[in-house]
Amino acid sequence: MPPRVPAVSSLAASSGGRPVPGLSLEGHRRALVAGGVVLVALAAVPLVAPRDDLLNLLFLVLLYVTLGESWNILGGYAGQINLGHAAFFGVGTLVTRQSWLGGWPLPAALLAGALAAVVVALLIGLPTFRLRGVYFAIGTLALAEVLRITVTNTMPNISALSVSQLVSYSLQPRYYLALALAAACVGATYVLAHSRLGLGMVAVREDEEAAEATGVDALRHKIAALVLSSLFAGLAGGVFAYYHVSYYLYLPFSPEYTFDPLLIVFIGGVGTVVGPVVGAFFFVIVREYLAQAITDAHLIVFGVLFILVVLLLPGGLVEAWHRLLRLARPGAPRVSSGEAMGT
Amino acid sequence: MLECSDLDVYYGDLQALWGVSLAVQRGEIVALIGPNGAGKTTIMRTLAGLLFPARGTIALDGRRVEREAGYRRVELGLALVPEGRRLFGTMTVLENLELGAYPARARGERRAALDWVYGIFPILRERRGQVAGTLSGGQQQMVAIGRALMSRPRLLLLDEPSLGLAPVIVEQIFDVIRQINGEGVTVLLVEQNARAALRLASRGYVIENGRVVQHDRADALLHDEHVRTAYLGAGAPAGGRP
Amino acid sequence: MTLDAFVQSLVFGVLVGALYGLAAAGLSLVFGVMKVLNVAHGELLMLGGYGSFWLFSLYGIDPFVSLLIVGPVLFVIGVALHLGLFSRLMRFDEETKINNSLLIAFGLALVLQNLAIRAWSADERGINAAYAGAVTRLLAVNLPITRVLSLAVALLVILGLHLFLTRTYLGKGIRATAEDWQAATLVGIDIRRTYLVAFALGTALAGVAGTLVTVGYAVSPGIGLEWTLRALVVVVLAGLGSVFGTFLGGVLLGVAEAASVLFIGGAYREVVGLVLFVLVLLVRPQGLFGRSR
Repeated sequence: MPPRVPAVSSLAASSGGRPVPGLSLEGHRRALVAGGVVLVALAAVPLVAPRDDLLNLLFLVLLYVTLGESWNILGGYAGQINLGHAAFFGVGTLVTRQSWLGGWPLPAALLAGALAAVVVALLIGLPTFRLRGVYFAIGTLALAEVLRITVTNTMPNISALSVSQLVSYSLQPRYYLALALAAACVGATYVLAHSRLGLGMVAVREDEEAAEATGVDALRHKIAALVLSSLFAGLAGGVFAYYHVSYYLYLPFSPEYTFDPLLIVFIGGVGTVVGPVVGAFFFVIVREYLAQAITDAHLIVFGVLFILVVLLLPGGLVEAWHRLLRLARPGAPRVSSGEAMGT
Repeated sequence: MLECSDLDVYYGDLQALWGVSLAVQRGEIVALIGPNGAGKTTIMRTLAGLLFPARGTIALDGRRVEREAGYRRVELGLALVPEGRRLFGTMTVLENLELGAYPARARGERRAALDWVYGIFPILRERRGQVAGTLSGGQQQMVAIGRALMSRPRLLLLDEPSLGLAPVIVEQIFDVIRQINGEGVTVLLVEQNARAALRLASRGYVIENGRVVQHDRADALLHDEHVRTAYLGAGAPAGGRP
Repeated sequence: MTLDAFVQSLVFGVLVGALYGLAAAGLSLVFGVMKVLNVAHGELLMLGGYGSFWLFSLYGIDPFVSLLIVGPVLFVIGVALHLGLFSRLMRFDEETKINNSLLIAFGLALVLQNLAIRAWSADERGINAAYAGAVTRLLAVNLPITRVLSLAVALLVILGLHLFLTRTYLGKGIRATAEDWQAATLVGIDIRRTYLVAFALGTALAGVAGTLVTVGYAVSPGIGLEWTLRALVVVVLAGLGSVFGTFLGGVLLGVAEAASVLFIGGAYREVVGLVLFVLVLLVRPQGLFGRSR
């Protein structure tokens, strides 16, 4: 039997973001400093420029950072395509909202939402991870639809804050909560990317059989990624529920909360820590601009961009940036890989 | 008729063949022998177009084909009976055979080709409605060879035709190969059963570790020291007929 | 609940199930041959529906006649989509190919849906042919003419597909490629052309299904996702490898949905299918009629 051809994954993290465990202390320090600067800058906004419209915009960006980064953990690092991320997000919003409005303290409500999201994720993940990859994808697609339809039918009402809650509503703490969550999610992804667990996930993504052959328990890694991904998605849902004054309970289950994270992750750079962050900023800002110019065209533009990225520039904006840098200084010559399989 | 020179073939980053050169003259039977994993199947797949060499050339009747897609080579008169037969298991024997005549030039003559194949393997005519996956190993091998013959190849490549078959069936298969060759089909044969292969062929190549290490007339190889110890002593299957 | 009402409901289930089966046939073909899941299949169906809607509204062409235009047009669109997008994925190994195709198809679905919204607004459109309301009665069951005609067309198309796949060289080549593309190459089949034909054919089938959906129900830009899911459910339910099996799977789904409506109400109609789908995935992943991998 000829040796197995190593998979050429166009979803592979570009050379800019491939996890490198054992990155030098210097590298870690630089990343920490860069992240810290961004964090401090964002934290300063409500103090320096306390405008509601700016804070709302940034809130949206931060929420999307978490949504995108959480998808990225499962889809970018572990290579499991989730087409129903809205399910985890939605469950988080639902459970958090209902328990918070029901009198639970916020931290408990957030935790409940996150845990509920994880439980739902495991319900679909555990059975389908044993099958071929495509079944997880359509399983999550189906799950999100089932939840959306069920919630739309059983809870068609708007969920609104009570008058007293409305009076005491303040944007600042919600902004900081979103910022903290985004920072936690990005931080967790960074740690994951440089850990054994993360390396194992990437191995599973690249070639599951080969990974198993070298002793990586694929199922365990996929489940770990799923848990982390759904945990943060659920928390993002909780933050959403805490933020909105009134909204239809079924809204967070709609496909746009799967589409948008996907767009963000790929346009920004899948499989990289920083990709979803870049993507989220890009997405929200460009959408605001396009919405003023031509309504709803943003989805077409992003959709086309998304396809182009998947086909041509799998590393997204992050890869584009690295290529630009490489043009400035000569890099190592690329080694041509072996033969295509048949066709 | 077939000439390849200096083939380097990789699986991904792994090199499998180094500078392989061989030639097959019209009307010959040539054998490729060697240990498992030496690269014999890799050579066959490269000749058939399932793999493309990184370096080197393959010429079929003088025409360069190493960059041609596999299906084009079938149109040009080359047919591979792959290792493990690779039948379309859910289709009937007849459907498998008919698919063998897929190239345009063969389709018109498929009735005649079918009669020819049935003449060589009468049992296939009997079983033509049977689903291929339910046949015995030997019968499947017949279908596989028959399928390749349906395209009226000028050069027939056979990869381990005796694999997993009872000795008496193996003998039948080898007789068939001799018969086909007699009717004008050039044959290149990869075989575990080195003794039988070298008795059948006129020339042989010994492949080890992805390289051609020996090349001679078949009867010379049968008496060669290295070949005898490596492939004819321990290599001959127990109970295999000489 | 009278027996009549019960039977009527089931018959409607069969009628709509035929459309499910037809919608699934195209998806099954592409998935079986190319091992690629086109989650934009529903959007292609939607395009076909709009095609016949506009042919009817602007030129008065009867929808069942417009099939002769919609089919080939969607075939050409399929050729273009394959050459532009999916053909670039075929050289990858199966895992990468599936992942990338899911993403690209998803992006395509997004783009097509929003293009449709911009071009034709999000409103629902229906075709009201002269005979739209006509109903015939058979054994105490009401049979709307349009639905019966749709069933007939669906059956004809499925039969045609079956004959194509079993009687023609191109069709047999497609089946051979689906089973073992390397062996297919070895018998002289041009794999790339086979993929192209399979994909384009799948798209054309989606378009035909879309026309029938528009005649019997309505079309709007948003129907893509629900029909993709329905087709997915049927493909999983029925398994790969048999055209008639897929069609039967569609009918089964239609009947199951109809039965469920009788007991738990219409709002959860889709949920039934999706739950069934998850169950089949868990218990018998190769589907009811499919071959074990």
